[in-house]
Amino acid sequence: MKFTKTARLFERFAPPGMPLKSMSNSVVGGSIISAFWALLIFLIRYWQKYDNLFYTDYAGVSHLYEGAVMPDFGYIFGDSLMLFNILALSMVGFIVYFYAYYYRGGKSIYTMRRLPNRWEIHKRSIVLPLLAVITVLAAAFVMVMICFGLYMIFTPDQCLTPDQWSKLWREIL
Amino acid sequence: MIKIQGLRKSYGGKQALKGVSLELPRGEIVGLFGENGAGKSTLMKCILDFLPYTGSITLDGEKITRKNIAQISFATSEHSFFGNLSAAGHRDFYKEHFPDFSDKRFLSLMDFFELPMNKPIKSFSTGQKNQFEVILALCQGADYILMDEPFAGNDIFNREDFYKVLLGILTERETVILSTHLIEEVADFIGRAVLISHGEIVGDVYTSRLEDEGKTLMSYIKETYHYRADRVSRALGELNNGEV
Repeated sequence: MKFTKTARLFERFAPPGMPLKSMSNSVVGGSIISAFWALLIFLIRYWQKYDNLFYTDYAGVSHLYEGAVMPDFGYIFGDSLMLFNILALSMVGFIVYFYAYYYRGGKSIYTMRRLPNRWEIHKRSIVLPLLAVITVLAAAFVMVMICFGLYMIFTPDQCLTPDQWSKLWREIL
Repeated sequence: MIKIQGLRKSYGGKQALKGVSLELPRGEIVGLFGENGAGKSTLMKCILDFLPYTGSITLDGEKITRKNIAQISFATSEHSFFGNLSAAGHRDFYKEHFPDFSDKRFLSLMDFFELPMNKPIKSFSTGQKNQFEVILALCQGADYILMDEPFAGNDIFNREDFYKVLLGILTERETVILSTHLIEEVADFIGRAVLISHGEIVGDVYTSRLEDEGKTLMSYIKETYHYRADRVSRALGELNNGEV
């Protein structure tokens, strides 16, 4: 019931009759793949840098190098969000797709251009793709936070350079 | 009243409308006739403000904008409905955007033409699509209903039904401007004939006047277009002579 209500709400912001399943699948599926990719890239890079902090003695015991410093989170995280960026840009492509919808299989553009509300066509072509971009960016932000949490938890305190939190925001902004 | 004065429209260097002036009062059924490329569709699209033009088009003295556009509806053989949307979905959409949408008329016409309410319109036959296109135009609640070749692809019985239904349901406020090539079919149904050729109005007559003069619409149109009845026989004769 609740799902139907939400679907109805979304339909009000999409071209009339446009099947939204492919778009929602793209957003959800794309975000999941992008999140796994970001996590994988981050973990590989983090593990390499983390491993460099230690040496192993003759007895096979690991020790932290004296004065060892972990590179900043932003450096390690790098371009892990690349797929998220591509996904967000592809969502903008939906705007073009939605506007083109009114010329496919007829000329429903004539109806849209006859509506007393001149903004209806733009509302139904722009809002959902922008919402999808926001969703993708929000998912990317959550991913950054998860990776940052892992970085802060698993990196030995003495290896952390100060102001990681503010450095992170500088990276994001 | 829709008043058109000195309407000019060009596509590139080619003039599609050459200073058209026309008055369309309420309560008329107007047939708009002309050869392919005469400017019929262009005229309608200019009225609807789909195309940029020079000259003036007013509706009850005001320029046609989004404020008064709901008073004009449009049915076209190009189809202006949403193919993926059902008839019920169109009904909801039109009710939301056109406050004078006639639900009663919509349901009656859907019932009369036995069109399904919950199937996407793209699954309809061409004839059904045309019927639905016209139904939407008739139910929008507009005073001016522009129809551009709306019955292309419908069989004769289907078209006959539509003319009868139209005559039965139109109110005194409603004006239909019907562009079609089916002159003889609509002759008894229209009250006025406007003839357009090469972007100019070449004839404008009320059918009652033709009746008074003992003329048929077809004879008036042939006369206006200087139709040469012997053209075909002469051409065939020349061809046959050529072969011999």
